[in-house]
Amino acid sequence: MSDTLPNAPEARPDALGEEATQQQVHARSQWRMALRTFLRHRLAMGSLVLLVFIATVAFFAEQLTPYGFDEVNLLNRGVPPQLEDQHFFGTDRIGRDYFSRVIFGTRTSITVAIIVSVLSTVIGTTVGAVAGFYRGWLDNALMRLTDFVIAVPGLAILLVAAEFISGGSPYQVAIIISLLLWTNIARIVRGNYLALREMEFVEAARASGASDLRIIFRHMLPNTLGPIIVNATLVVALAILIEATLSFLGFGVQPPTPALGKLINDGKDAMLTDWWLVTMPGLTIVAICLCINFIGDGLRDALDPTNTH
Amino acid sequence: MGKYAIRRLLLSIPVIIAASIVVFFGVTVVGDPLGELRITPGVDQATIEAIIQRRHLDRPLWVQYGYWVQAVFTDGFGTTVGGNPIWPDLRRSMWFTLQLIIAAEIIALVLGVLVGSVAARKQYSLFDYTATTISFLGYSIPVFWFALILQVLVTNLFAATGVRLFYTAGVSSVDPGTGFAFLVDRLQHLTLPIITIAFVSVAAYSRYMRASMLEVIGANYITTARAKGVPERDVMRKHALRNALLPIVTLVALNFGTVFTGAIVAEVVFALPGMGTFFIDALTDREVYNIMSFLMVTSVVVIIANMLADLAYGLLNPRIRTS
Repeated sequence: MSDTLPNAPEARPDALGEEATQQQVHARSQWRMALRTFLRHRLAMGSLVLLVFIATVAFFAEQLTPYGFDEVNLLNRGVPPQLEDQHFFGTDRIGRDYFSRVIFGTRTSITVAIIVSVLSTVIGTTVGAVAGFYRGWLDNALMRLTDFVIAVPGLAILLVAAEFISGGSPYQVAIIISLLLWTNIARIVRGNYLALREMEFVEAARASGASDLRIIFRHMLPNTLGPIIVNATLVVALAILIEATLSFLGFGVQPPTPALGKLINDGKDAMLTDWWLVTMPGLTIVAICLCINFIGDGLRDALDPTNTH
Repeated sequence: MGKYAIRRLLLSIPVIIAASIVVFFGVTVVGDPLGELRITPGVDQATIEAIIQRRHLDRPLWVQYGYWVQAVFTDGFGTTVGGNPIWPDLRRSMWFTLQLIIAAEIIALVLGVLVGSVAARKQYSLFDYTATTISFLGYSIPVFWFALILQVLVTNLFAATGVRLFYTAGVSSVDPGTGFAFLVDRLQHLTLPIITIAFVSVAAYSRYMRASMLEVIGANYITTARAKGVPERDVMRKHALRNALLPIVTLVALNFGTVFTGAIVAEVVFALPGMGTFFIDALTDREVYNIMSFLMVTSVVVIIANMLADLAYGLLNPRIRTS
């Protein structure tokens, strides 16, 4: 993670008045430069295209899948992947089309992961910003809490929460996962805020009478947006892996909602004969996470201000 | 150094107390110890009443907390709701998981440091690109799926060639033999779980090691060392590597959660009697006191791991010690 400051100066116009128009032109070009770097990152672009494709198929699952996710056809049990009858990923032990099940599971995974990404970014950014801006005992307390959450074996806490609190809906699972994944972003944002708060534009904003809240969110936040975006992207991959692990262990999204981890768990007893039952949902997870990680890498390159392409 | 160590040790006491409060109240708030018993058919009111009496469940929560702490210290975490002692089970699984984790950590560290530093020294080489790609895979493959694929591969290998390279479930064969044969049998059983646990950490360690090494190689004192004619091998080993290793020490402690998660998953997939299985069983049976014991033990281990990391950091980095 880049700890250097992205000096996208949109925050300045408020403080500098006259120069504002000039600055804004520059500000736009900063993001445009980032965009150009990203577009040139072939691996990241390819991943983005593939990911958008997978996500589109997943979100239009009802319209696009050849069968329903729980459509049983006892005459077609254990069919290996084939183009005939459109059983691209074969069928499971009671004849449900596996491609359709995987696609519906993917939709669950992506939904959970996006909610987690948004929630954990909001929590982490707020914690990090408050800690870095106010410093002192508040910073100390928040950072000890962060250290604690990082060190505690997350899966253990997740499992307890999932077993006792969650009713197994995707939204509940997402909220529980978010409560663990905000720590990384909190540390990054805090680090940046510690440096930013000493800068002149913050002093200028304070001199012109801006409230703390306004300084934190309107002036300082835009200056640390780069790392936040990169992290929010990477969290999506992490969340997909965690959600899959939870549902694999039987504590995640509960049936009838299909989940990729649950599919793998159900399929593992027959994996030696019907290899596709474990392979296909697993490869789907790997493909999605690889795409996201490559995109994150591309974004990191693009948003790194020391990178002068 | 001794003073620093003692202060660090004392500082961890309030943290452990805080952790015990969080664990006890957290679990009691969400899980009723009698929940499972109440819905079990054939359990009459008198039995439940007796358990409430014995476990002081009619008393206020903080009194119950007191009894629990007492049980933790004097009675090895007390007993389950049903009255079975917790400690023998817990100790056995703890010991087992600890062995797994230590073995996996050592392998992951050695591999990670090796791959990371070589990749940094040969930046943008084929080796570097391969290592990067593999570490991306490491971040993208679900651990449990990786374990299952290992199982399939090894089983298929056995089916095809008849060679029993590794076992895919359990700790030992029905008749493990003695002496060297026993050791080999144990290794055959534990290799796949250990690979599984190490897998994710190798990706993380090698990435960090590469970044850390690159930063150090660019530092002025490396140029100085080269300029004064230190052989390149010594520059790398004595000047660069030692400094690059510093951040890894902290990472190992922070990485504990990941390793432990890997262990839970590996134990479930490979049917091993460790902490993960203990915990999953406790959760499915809703054995509240087992869950508490598990969380407490892991918290203490985490706190100790962090402390050791801090101490090791101080030991390796004299700049910390004096300040």
